[in-house]
Amino acid sequence: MSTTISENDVLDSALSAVATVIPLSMRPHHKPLLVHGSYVQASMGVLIAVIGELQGRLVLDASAATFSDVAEAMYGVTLEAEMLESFVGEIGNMVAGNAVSTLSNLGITVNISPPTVLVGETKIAGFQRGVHLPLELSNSGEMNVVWMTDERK
Amino acid sequence: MARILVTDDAAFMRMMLKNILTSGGHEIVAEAENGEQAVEQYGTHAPDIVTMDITMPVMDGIQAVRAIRAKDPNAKILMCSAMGQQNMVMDAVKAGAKGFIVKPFDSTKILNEITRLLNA
Repeated sequence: MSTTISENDVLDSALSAVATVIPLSMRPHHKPLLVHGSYVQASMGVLIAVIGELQGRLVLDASAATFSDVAEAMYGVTLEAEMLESFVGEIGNMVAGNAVSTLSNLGITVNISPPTVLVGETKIAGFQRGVHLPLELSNSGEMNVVWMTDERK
Repeated sequence: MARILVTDDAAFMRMMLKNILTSGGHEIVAEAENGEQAVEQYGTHAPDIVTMDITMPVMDGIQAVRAIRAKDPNAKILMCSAMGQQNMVMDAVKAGAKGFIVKPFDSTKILNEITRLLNA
C-alpha cells in the first residue's frame, strides 16, 4: 500500500504520541521550525530510527531535570544517572511506538530501532531536512521534538 | 504466585516491572536484556511466565517468542511493548504470545494479565 505522507503528518503523530505518553500538560512554544543539515541537542535526548515506507529519525531532547520530572509524573519515582538515561531511552521507545501506531492507521507501515540515548551537547547531521517543535511542559521546562527525514540514496 | 522472567532492554523498565510484579507477590527468577538472553534464561529457569519487550537489540521479542515456543509449546509469554499497532499484535500472537500490553502500562493491568495467564 502506498500512501503519501508529509513531514507535518509525522510531526503531528509524534506530538500526539508525546501528549499520550507524558501525563503533563504541554503547549508548543511556537510554530514548527525547519532544520537544515544538522541539529544540536543541548543536554540529553533520545534518537529512534524509523525504517520502512517512511525513513528518518525522531529525536526528543530536554534537560535532565525535565526528564526527571517526566519520570516522577509517570511513575512516581526520582531517577538520576544511568537509570535516568535508561528512562530517557524508554520514553523515546514509547513515543515512537505510539507514533508508529498512528502512522499505521494512516496506512504507513514502518518499524523502529531500539533507542539511542544522547548525553551532553550532541550534533546530529546527515539528514535531508527536518522539522523541530519546542514544547513547553507545565512547570517542567522545555522538550524538543525533532523529525529528520533521511537523505535519499 | 508466579515465577517470572522479565525481558526488556531498558534497565529502567526491568526495574519497574520487578517492582510491580514483586509487589503483587510474584517471584522474579531472572532478567534478560534481549531476546537471545531470554531464550537462554528460559532454558535455565523454566519460569511460569515471561514478560517480553519487542524492540530490542541482538534478537527482538517476536523472534524470542518463536524460539521459546519451539522449545516449550506451553510457554506463557506476555508481550510488554511500546509497539501497539495491529500488525505487531498479530505477529506476536501468531508467534505464540498469550497476551499483549502496550507501554506505558499501569500496575493493575500487568498484575491482572499475569493472573489471567497463570490460570489459563
